[in-house]
Formats: sequence, C-alpha cells, structure tokens
Amino acid sequence: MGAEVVVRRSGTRKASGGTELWRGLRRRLGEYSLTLQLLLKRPLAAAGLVITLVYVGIAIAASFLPDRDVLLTDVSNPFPQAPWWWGAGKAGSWLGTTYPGIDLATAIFKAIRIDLYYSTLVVLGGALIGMLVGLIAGYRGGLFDEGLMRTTDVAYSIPFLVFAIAVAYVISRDFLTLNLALLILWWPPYARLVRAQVLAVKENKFVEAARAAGASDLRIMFRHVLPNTLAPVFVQVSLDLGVVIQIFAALIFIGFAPHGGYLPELGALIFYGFDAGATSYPWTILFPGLALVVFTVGINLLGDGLRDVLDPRLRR
Amino acid sequence: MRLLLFVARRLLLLIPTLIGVTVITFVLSRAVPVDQLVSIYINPRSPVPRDQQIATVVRLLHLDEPLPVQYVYYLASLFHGDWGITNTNLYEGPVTGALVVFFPPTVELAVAATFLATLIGIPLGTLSAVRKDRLSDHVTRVVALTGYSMPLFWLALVLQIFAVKYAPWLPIQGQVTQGILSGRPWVVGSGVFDSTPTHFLILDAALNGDGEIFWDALRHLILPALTLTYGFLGVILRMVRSGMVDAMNQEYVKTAWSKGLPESVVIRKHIRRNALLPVTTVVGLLFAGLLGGVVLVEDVFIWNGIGRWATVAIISHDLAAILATTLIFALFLVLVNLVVDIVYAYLDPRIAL
Repeated sequence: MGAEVVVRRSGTRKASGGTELWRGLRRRLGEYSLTLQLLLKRPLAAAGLVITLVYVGIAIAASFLPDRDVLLTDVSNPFPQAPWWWGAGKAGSWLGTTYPGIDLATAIFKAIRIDLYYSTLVVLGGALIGMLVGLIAGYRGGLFDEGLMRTTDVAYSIPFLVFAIAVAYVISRDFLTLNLALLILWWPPYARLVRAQVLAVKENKFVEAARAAGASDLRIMFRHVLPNTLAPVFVQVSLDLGVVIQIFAALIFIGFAPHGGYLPELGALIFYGFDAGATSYPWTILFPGLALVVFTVGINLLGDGLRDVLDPRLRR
Repeated sequence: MRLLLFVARRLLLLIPTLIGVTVITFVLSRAVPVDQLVSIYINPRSPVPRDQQIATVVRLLHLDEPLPVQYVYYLASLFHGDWGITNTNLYEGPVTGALVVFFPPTVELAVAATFLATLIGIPLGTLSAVRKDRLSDHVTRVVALTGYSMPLFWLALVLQIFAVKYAPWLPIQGQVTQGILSGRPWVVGSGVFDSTPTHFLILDAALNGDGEIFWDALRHLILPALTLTYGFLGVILRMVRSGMVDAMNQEYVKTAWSKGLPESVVIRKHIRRNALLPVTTVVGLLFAGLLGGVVLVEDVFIWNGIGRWATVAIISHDLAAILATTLIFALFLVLVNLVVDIVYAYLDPRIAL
C-alpha cells in the first residue's frame, strides 16, 4: 500500500495486486517518456543522446563483424598509409591504416565495442555494489556507516590510474584484473552518493507512513527509499562511463594490454600510431582519439542533461 | 575555537584514511612472489648460493613474520624514510631520494596548469552563467566539456603534431634544452641528469638570475601546461557556472537587482562571490587530481616528474617505484583534502559548526 505514496501523481488505489503492478509499471513508463521529452527539448542533451545511441549501435553492429575483419592487415605494406582523401592516400581506405597495416576504420569499430562493453561492466558493477552498501549504511547508520565513510575516504585518496597500474603490475595484466582493480575504487563514491540521498529520503513522511502501516525494513529500503535515490546515480553512471573509457585507454596506452595479441582498443590504436611516429602519420592517432572524444563528449552531454531533467527543482 | 576543534577532528579522521591507504600499498607489495620481491638485493656473482642469500634477505626484511607484524614493520620503515630502492634508468638509489628529485617538476607543472585553468575558467564560467542557455553558453560548455572528455595523453600528442608543423620554435619534449645546463655554476649533478638545488628548475633559474635557462624552461613548460589546463578547465568552468546559476535565483540577488544596482556589481559582488566558495575546494582537489592525470602527459612530453618515473618504473619492473608513486599520490591527495577542508571551514563559518 505504501508504494502509492512514493509516486507523486498517484491515481486511485485498487486492492488487486495485479493491477497495482500494472499501474506502477505504466506510471514508471510515463515518467520515463516525460524525462525523454524534457531531454529532447535541450539541444545539447539531445545531441548527447543521439551520439550515445550511435555508439551503442556501432558497438552492436561491430559484434556481428567476423573477427578476421579487424585484421584487414596489409602485410605487404605495414607502414601507415593515409586515407584516400588525405592526399596521396590509400585508395578505398576511409580512415587510413596504422602499423602494421591495420585498416583503421574497421579497427575503430571493433575497438568501440570492446571499450563500451568493459567500461559499462565496471561502472554498472561499481554502481550496484555502491548502491547496496550506501543503502544499508544510510538506513542503518552506526558502525557500518562509519566504516563506509572511512572506506570512501581511502578510495577517494588513491588516483585510479596509479592504483590500476600498481594492481596490474603486481597481479596480472589481463583485462579482468584491470576491471576488478577499477571496481575496488569505483563503488565507494556511489555508496556515499546513495547514502547521502538515503539520509534525506528516510526522513520523509511517506517512509514513516510505510513503517506505521507495518512494512518491513527490507520493503521500506527497496520499495520506498531506493527508487527515490536513483536519479543522481543515473547521472553519475553516465558521467563515469566517459571517465572509465579514458582510464582504459590510458592504461592500455602505457602497455597494460594482454600481450602477444592484437587488441582492438582505442588506447591501443593510439599507441600503435604513437609507436609508428605520430608526427609523421598524424591520422593514426587523430582518428582513434577522436572516436574516444566524441563518445565521451556525447555521454557527458547526456549526463548533464539528465542531471537537469531529473532534478525536480529545476523542472518547473 | 570552533575552527580549532574542527581542525583537530579533521586530523583525527586522517588516521583511518592513512591506515587504509598504507594497508593497500602493503598488500600490493606483498602480493608479488618473494624471490621477485628480494631480487634487487641478490648478487648473482656472489659465492654465497642464491637460496641462502634469499633466506638472509627474507629474515632481514622480516618477510618470515606473520602479515600483521610485517605491516607494522612496513609502517615503521615508511616512517623512517626507508621506502625501498629504485633502479630505473632515470634514477638509481633510495626511493625517497628519487621522490625529492621527481616531485618538484610535477608540482611545477601542476601549479602552472592550475593557475592557468583558474585564470581562464572563472571568467568563462561567469560568461556562461550570465548568458545561460544562449549560444555563447552552449559554445563555452562544449569547449570545456571537450577538454574534460579528452584523454590527456592524446591531446598531448595532437599538440605535438601541431607544434611540429606550425610552431617549430616550441619545444615538444623535455624540461630544458639538452646540454644547456652543464657548466652553469649553480647547477648540481644528480643521478643521470643535471639538476638544480631545489629541483624546481624555473624557480632556481629565477633565483640565480639565469635568464637564458629561465626562458628556455618556460618555453618547455608551455605545451605540457596547456595540455593539463585544457583538460581541467572544464571542471572549474562547470563549478563556477552551476554555482552562479544557483546564486542567481537567491532572494538577496533579487533584492540587489531591485535596488537598481548596476549589472556588473550584482554579478561580481553578489552572485560570483558566493559561487566562488565551492570553487576553492575544486581548485584544491584539481591540483591534487592533476598530479594523477599528469602521469601520461609527462610520459609523452618526456617531463622527468613522478609520472614519468612511474611509467619508466613499469617498463623496468621496479616495484618499489610503482608503490612509492601510489603512496605519494595518495598522501598528497589526503593532505590537499585536509587543507581544502580547513580553508573551506575558515571561509564559510557554517561548515565548522
């Protein structure tokens, strides 16, 4: 019964459980479409949404490319060749080739897929763990809460890149280790974010009402408190995606890639160009870098837009 | 008095953080196999068998004790300034000595970038807030965002490409023209490369009145400093803008407008002054964050700071250097956080209550 109170524009209450669920779902969908409409009214946010969707599309499309397509390697000419429109470039190659004769356009497609996949994994993993811990800490308080705050202090004081370097060096250089290393530092900020929200939300009358109605702690936490803390988490997730992609690229640029194999990853592609000589073959670093920048700008615009739209104070 | 209590509490809170940070570096340092850990102390040409040498070193370093005891020894050695020995082609010797050499250039870079980013970010943020949702606001925000979204090592490479093509007089690598330092009376040799008494090259050149080196070092600073500036401009700009937009809706600003005060006075004295408060925090954090982001930029520009030392350490498999970098960055961040919090409490008395 308490669920009715959470949502601001509640309809008439029905006793049947099935309709309650359906109504809840429809209200939620209505909320999403309202968010979308508000988002599309802002030119920058709309641009961000479009860019993000295009990249997701590329990532999905790239997973249908057979693996050998990445290695459109021209062994007869391993040195980077300019795209055909660059002037004296290679015919038929849109973005040129990089060392050793890899076609950049296909490699970038593949790289976007890998980068998107892993950064989503890290950010969502961090957000989930952080939400859970933050929820409990904020709701329960006490020693657990104090412990969490100190843990976040520690996590805040170690730069990601440096930490990831140390972990990768000490344990192993594969992608999974890098992911886990990032996760260790990635969840605490989310926990702190959610905790702060929980502290504010749990003072609301509707939580008191739910408790008076006999709802269990678990139900209050997940049904009433958690949904009301999600907006800033969404924003943070979208902003963090851009950060994680950059950290991946940076780590792989300095050589924390699984060695002994070709890795289609944007940082790696930039490194190949750098290795071959960036000043002689500018396109080899320009295009992979631009692919990265455009994505990060897009997702940041989207995140900024979401922040504005999801904040009910700014909505009116 | 309140402020003093606040500082004391803040200092006490530092202890768990520092323990946490050192536990992390300790665990990392013990996660590598023992013979790799002690390999730096082993002399392959010594008549003593390798196993025996390892056993001795293990005993001397207390590696045979239980982990909690080892941690205490680890802390003790940290306090005594015994951070291990580094052996890279940049520096050979105790880690603490290396830190003294490599920290100043990094700070020099970070100071220059923070200064420039603040100098450009505050007026641009003001402009963006005053012209909210108009074209100049959109343009400014996208420009700032692009910097924020750029891998800085990539920006560094792009700047190098452009400098080679369009500004050949701009050096793209190093801190100073090679060989220019040798023979100067005030320069001291240190490690492999020449250095200066405080290791702050520009400062030393200025103090010793050496115009040529001062100018040379300043020119070398331009590209790396610009790279970092562009990267962090966005953060400041964003902060100023959102702070000012918030302040614009406050009652006291409406009062100021209705009093008929001129626009510039309202914007500067009423709106911006309050919006700048959180910016002090950001500038502090930024300065610390810069030190982290500086790693790859230093590598690309061959700037012999902590970051480059760290990347060289990776290639040279130098564990002590990598862990020292982690620890020193963490300590620095903790320290800057502390200072920022105290400054903030001083500026905004509501905080310390």
